[in-house]
Amino acid sequence: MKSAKMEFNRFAQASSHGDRMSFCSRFCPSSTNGLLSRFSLITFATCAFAACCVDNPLQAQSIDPGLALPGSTFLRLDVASSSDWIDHPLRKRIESSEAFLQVWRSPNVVDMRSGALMFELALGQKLEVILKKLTVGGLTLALDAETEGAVLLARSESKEWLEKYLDKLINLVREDAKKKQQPDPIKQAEYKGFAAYEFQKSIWVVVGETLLITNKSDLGKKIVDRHLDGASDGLASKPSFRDAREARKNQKEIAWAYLDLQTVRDKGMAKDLFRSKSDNFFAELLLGGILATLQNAPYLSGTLQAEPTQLDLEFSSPHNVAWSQSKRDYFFGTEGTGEAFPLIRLNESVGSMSVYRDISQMWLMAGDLFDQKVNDQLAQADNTLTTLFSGKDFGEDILGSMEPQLRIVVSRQSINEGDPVPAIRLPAFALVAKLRDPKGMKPELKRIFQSFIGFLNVTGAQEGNPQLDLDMESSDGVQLVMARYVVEADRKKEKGVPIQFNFSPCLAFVGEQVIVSSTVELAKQIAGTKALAVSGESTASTEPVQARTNTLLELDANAIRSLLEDNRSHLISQNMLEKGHSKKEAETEINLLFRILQFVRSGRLDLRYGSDAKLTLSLQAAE
Amino acid sequence: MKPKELGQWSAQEAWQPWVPTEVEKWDMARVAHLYRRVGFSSSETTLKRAIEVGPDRTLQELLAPSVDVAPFEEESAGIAKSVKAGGDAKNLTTWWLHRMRTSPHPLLEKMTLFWHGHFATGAEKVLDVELMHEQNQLLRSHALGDFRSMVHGISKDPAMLIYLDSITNRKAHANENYARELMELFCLGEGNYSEMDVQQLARCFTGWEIRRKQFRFNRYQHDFGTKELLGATNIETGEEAIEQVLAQKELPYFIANKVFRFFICDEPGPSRELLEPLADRFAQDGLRISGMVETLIRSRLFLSDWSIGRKIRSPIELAIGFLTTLESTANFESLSQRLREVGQAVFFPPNVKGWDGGRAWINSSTLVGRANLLHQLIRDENTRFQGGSLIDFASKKKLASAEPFLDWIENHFFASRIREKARKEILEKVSMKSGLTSYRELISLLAATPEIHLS
Repeated sequence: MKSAKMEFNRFAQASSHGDRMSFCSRFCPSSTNGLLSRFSLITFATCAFAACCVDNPLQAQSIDPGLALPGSTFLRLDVASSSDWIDHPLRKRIESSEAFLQVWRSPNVVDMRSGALMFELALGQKLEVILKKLTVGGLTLALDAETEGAVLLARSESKEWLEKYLDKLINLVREDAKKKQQPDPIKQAEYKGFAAYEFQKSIWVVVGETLLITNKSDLGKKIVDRHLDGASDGLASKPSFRDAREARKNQKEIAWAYLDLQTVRDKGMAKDLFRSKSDNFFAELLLGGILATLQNAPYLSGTLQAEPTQLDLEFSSPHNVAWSQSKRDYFFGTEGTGEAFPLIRLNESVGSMSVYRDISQMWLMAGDLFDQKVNDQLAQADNTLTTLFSGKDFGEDILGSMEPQLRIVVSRQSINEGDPVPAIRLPAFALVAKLRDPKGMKPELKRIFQSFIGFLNVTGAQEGNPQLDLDMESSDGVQLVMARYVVEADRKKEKGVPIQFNFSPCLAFVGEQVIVSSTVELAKQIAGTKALAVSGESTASTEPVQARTNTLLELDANAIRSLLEDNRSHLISQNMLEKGHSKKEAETEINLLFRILQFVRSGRLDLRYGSDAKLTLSLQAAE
Repeated sequence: MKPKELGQWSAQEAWQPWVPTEVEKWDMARVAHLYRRVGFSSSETTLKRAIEVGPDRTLQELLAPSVDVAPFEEESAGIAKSVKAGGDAKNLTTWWLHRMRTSPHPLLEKMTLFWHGHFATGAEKVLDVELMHEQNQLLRSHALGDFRSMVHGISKDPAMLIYLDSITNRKAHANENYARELMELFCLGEGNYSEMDVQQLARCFTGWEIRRKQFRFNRYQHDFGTKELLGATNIETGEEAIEQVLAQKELPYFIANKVFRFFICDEPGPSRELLEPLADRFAQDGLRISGMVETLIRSRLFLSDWSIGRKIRSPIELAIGFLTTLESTANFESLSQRLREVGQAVFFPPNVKGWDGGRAWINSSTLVGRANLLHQLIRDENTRFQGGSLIDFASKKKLASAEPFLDWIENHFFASRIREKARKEILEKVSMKSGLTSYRELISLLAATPEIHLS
């Protein structure tokens, strides 16, 4: 890796080697600065020519990132003026939350705040004000593929303000070094009439109202040159960037980003992401379709929006059904027509998920989707599961018995008065699916479930574990096959019974839907929801639609908090063992977690496909 | 003056209470020795306090702490409950390491560790966290108490009987496993019983079963016939048989010998004459343990210069001792894994004989492992020294550079001085580093010295 000093030399030398304009050094610093003294004569000689350059009107203007960033830029992140996020109502809400105050008063943050205060005193201005004035016109961060450099462009209030505060900052750093009897940490020069500073592997240049910070001199030069030339063949003229800009919503965003996926793929970055075969079953199951899009789409854009009580992060990229044809039909459905059912929402549900995934197809396509190691593991699992499911082929018969629209509900369990309380309170969870052949599959699944309970009882008995008692119930069109752990008379009111008592496995049939639940109560709750009845009738449409929902996930922070509260003592104990904390420290850390959750009301993930692929993550703040 | 060798000690003088002399002073080296052996080392504050209050009060405090241990026990019980709920016996190891590091009664934990090695039971076979925890609590409750009750308890302990394949013991086929280990490993030692005694004792234990994780006496499977055990002819029940074993004259010597090796030295072994006063005290106390242990840790022999650095630190003594000396806490889960790698995972002894100890702790593989253990411990972000970083700790102790830091660790943690040549080399290497790196490097280099393994 080239050193920062070399980078800076290259930056400063550029115009002395006959660049289009000139090299000029406003400052001819002390002889201690070897780098600059080398150029002092050249500087002097070219000064007159350089003076002409000041007349270039672009020299006094701020950099326009759209024009100045080169075409080789593969990542651009625009952040709105800091006033937009510093003064955002959401920030005030965060700052007034208990969680924030707890962090704010913690010793480490107090130390940091003291440091910041000293800094503010030295600069004579509050950091918040400095940040606002520095980013009046917003911030742009860009990564360049050609130079492998990064650049930050901050558009400030005015050139005068920028130079004044930069001078103050430089003096502060120099004074600090002097106090510590260290050499001058800042080197300075000029490039085409612009003052440039080198500090800790970074090069700082003031261009009109813009502060340019880069780690690569070539990138800095390129941007300055393009700015002065008024070049028009840069990033802004790149088709994929133009498309991304056009697709950008006309809304007030906090941040917007563009990633040139073609360059990322060509340069061999993020190789793991673009591997043809996955090494992780669950990652493929959850994200396989997204990977297919990323492996083919020309770009990915991202937007962060902040409403008074909500944060939305949206990723978007062009999508073409052909990119995933055959191999990932399990994710999108044939011709991309697969669509998830509505979510099932319950009062105490911690989370609810609805997806379109033809797992049976995925299981059978495993050879094309996964590497050898995963395939070996799947073959082994297939063997075991086939035995467990009474000789039925797990991939074809069991998974294949369900339509691809799957829904998962996770819910907090409430313990009835007088029931034993497990030492660790796990949430109840259930899988809801529509059966392809309800008439044929219901008796099969019932029998398999009974055999499975028998198997659990035999293995449990060998290890002295409690036994499951099978039962059946049928009412209002709901048929339940269930099993509950037998509670010994002396343990009925006990607190801290084994973890098994979190389960009362249940299989329920409602019309064409089957519910496989970890508890009877959850199965009954789901069976009674309207969403189940509605989706029972729905099928994937082949009609062209603007966008189809592929994955929906909702999390309820209140329910998560209650669930964690149920296991509070366990969390504290684990914290003590894993982090070596005292009980008090562990309690403080766990309390902070609860307080952070108090601030959030819910989270939502929404993945939709149409001509674009859109992944939206939303965080709703508590009232 | 060269300290007297073990063979030169008479039984009478060895077990006399130690008193400070011009030659053997109540100083940092001796106090650190006491805490290394009786507990898991100690903080500088505790050591200085011990010097200040003198040997009598220090030993009294170690034998019966004046602090209220109830809050600690309540906290530890809470962690144990959580660990048991998780169902993984490896987490019990973590729980106990946490206890060893934080207990206000280190001698009790040390003695529990001693009895855990004596009545070795492995969780990999028992496969039940609750039973392993119950056994551990049984050992703790008698660790400094009544050996008689402990043997009766352990003979009906589900974890022990599962470990020794003795969950069923029928009169038609008396199971000899537990009977043999009770005499050979737990009470008398080899050569102090016959094969006939094993068979007879096994008959006494017929009908002793474990059902639904609890001991049960099945009278239909008990052999009510006449048995002759260790010279007695009127033995009928298992309990009477245990009493007969406990009444053997050899028992106090057998236990005193193990306690001697645990606290004083692994080799050379003590003579029978040297052990006699200890064994007598144990017998006269009706097999109560605390009197014998008190005699030992107050003795001239135990606190003599000869005893210092005479033992090899077990991996637990090394790791917990290191943490205690530097007043630090760590990720006990990963520590438990690292201790397993160097041969001492509590609740997972190598076999029914427990850990051999002594020189067996050290071989080419564990030597590197032990150095790595400390190396990783100081680099783990969860390891906090007095709640802060290592450099903060050094700063609080006013140890501004590597040399005073080395002196400090040597005084408080090492049982013997580091060779001058090694010391110079270490300081030379460390001088090339600065800040936190230099302190970490120093500890890593110290971890590679042979002296660090002595206790």
